[in-house]
Amino acid sequence: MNDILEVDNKKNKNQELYAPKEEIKDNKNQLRKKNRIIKSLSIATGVLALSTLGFGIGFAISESNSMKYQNNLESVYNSNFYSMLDSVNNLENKISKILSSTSSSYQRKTLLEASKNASEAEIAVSSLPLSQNDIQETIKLVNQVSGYTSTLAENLTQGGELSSQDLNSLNEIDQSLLQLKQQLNDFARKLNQGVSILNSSFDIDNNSNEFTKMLALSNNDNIEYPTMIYDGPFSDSVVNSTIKGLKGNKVSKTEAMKNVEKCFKNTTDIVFESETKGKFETYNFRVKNTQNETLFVQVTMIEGHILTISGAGANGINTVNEEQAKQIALDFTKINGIENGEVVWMDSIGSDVYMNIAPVQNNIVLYPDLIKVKIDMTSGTVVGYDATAYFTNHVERTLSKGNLSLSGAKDKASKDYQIDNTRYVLTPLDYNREVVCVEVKATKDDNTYYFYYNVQDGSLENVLKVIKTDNGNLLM
Amino acid sequence: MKNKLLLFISLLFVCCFTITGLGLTYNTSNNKIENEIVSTEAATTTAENRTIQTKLKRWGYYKGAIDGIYGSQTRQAVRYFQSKNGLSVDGIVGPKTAAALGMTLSSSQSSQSSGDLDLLAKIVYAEARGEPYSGQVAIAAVVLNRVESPSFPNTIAGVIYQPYAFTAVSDGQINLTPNSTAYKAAQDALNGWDPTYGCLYYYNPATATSSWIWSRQTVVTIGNHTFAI
Repeated sequence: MNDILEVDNKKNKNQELYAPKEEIKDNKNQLRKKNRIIKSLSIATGVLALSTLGFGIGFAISESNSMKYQNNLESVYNSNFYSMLDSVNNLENKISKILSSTSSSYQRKTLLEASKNASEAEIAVSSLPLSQNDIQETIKLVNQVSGYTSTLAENLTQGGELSSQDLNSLNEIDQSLLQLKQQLNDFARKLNQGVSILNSSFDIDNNSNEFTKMLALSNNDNIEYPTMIYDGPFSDSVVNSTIKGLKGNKVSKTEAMKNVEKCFKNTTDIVFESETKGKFETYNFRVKNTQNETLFVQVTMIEGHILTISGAGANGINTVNEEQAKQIALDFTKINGIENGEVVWMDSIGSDVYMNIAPVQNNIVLYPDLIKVKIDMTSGTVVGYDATAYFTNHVERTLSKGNLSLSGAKDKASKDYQIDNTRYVLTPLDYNREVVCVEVKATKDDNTYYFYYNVQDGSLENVLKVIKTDNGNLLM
Repeated sequence: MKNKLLLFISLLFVCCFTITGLGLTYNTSNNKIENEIVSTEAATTTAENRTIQTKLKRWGYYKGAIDGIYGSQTRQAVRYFQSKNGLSVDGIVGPKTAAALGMTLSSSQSSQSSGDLDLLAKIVYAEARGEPYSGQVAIAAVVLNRVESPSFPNTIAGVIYQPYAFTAVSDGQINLTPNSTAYKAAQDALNGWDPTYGCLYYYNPATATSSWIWSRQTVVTIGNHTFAI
């Protein structure tokens, strides 16, 4: 039996040994293929593993950084929110204290503190991720309260007292602040419960987000906002000021264009572009000047005066000096009907020179009616003109030089100053007030100052200092 | 051979993935780095750069535009000027080079910086660089009108960086370096020019999606922007 098996094995071995060459080749190829597939799979797996690892590491670092930025931003927003909360809480407390007090000195001190709190609240609320469209009423309230309380405090300093109308306004303000305070405190509780400002401020869809809705005053229909009529910044009366200098008839587009042609005699490239329908109503033209620069020229629909010209001007080597530029500017204002102008300030920046020209009436310089002109000194052409202040304020005025002489005003200035010049001026004071003063230009320690003495009582109305900046001189 | 190719492609694949992953990390801080580079380059102010360029052009050292930008051409011209005047050649206008140019740098005077002008020029360039000049002045004027308005923050920085106020701030375009036209437009607006006469808003009618903005009273259209109150 064993012999038979042995013979069979030998046969098989012989069969293998003597199998056809092709079959052996096929077997070898199949084996190689298998090896290759295994190798490829191993490499692919390795590659995938390494790629995932690399991507994972990169993503993890990125996420970690992103989280860091988010946390930092959330902290800044939290800080601003709590600052606003504190400021509004303090502001409301102070307004209610003023309402309950009868002492002028206490009211004055507390009004000044309230003004500071309102100002701080404005800075904080403006730094929060709120939809600007819906938060405007909130910002307006704190801004106006800041201006109003400061004006009332100033009034008390000058010996006045709070009128019943003032007290009514303060009471209305207090009601608005109470509502805002409640909304802020509600949100502070939510923050304590883990709500994130960043998450609440996402999805600024339709100009609002969740966070804004919680802080916006405009959502409360039951609150009546006080209209604050006072002589201070952001007063409703100042914001809604009117144009005094244009009282004539409406001109046609063709007449307006003729006035543009009068100013730009050497060009025929004047094209009507559009109309402005705002505080001023104007016809707008595009004018190509002799330097091939396109200027935007606006002409008033009432009376047809050139109101503004906007042009960049060129950069390069100047062909006119400042004195020549001055004459070009004065000639240009004359063409536009302002005969008695005087250059009261000029400053050159690069190749442009900016000038303020004020009309003079009875030797009194009318500062409220300033006209601004920009001359391109490379070509000696007018590339900028702005008469909005002139047409907003210019009226026939009866002006008196009062009792103060120029030498009298000179004597009022400190002896430490060197007096350079004196003249009568009509000066605009804060918020639509005008006063005739003597302007005394004086220098001390290389600093230039302008003092303004009221001609009626000799009081010092204002002091301006020339501040050198990187881009010209400022009067502040 | 094929195996080697496969291995090479695989390694390339790994590298690409890793770079992409790490790129995400880098990208988040990329803007910050660019800004730092820009700010360190601005050793002199735009106005001073214009003066330097004008002087160098007049004396034949500089052939570029008087644009107030201290670029490679200006730097090269300064180096040329320094080499001809026995100064140390570094391409930077320091006190000695400034003295040789006949000018005093503002940093050595009791002068204050005009951050407001820079900020205004940045927002003008970011929001309206393709617009006509009057349209650029109008953008700067809107910012200044907002400063005056009780319904907005009371500083130029406050208005520009008020969250969600300008898309150019959200998408980082505010950090681009403004050109000389943007500076001129900002300067005009600071000097009182306002072709919109008090507008507080503007939008591009072709792209604006907000229904709220369409409800505002329009005043004037300049270029692609409609200005409203």
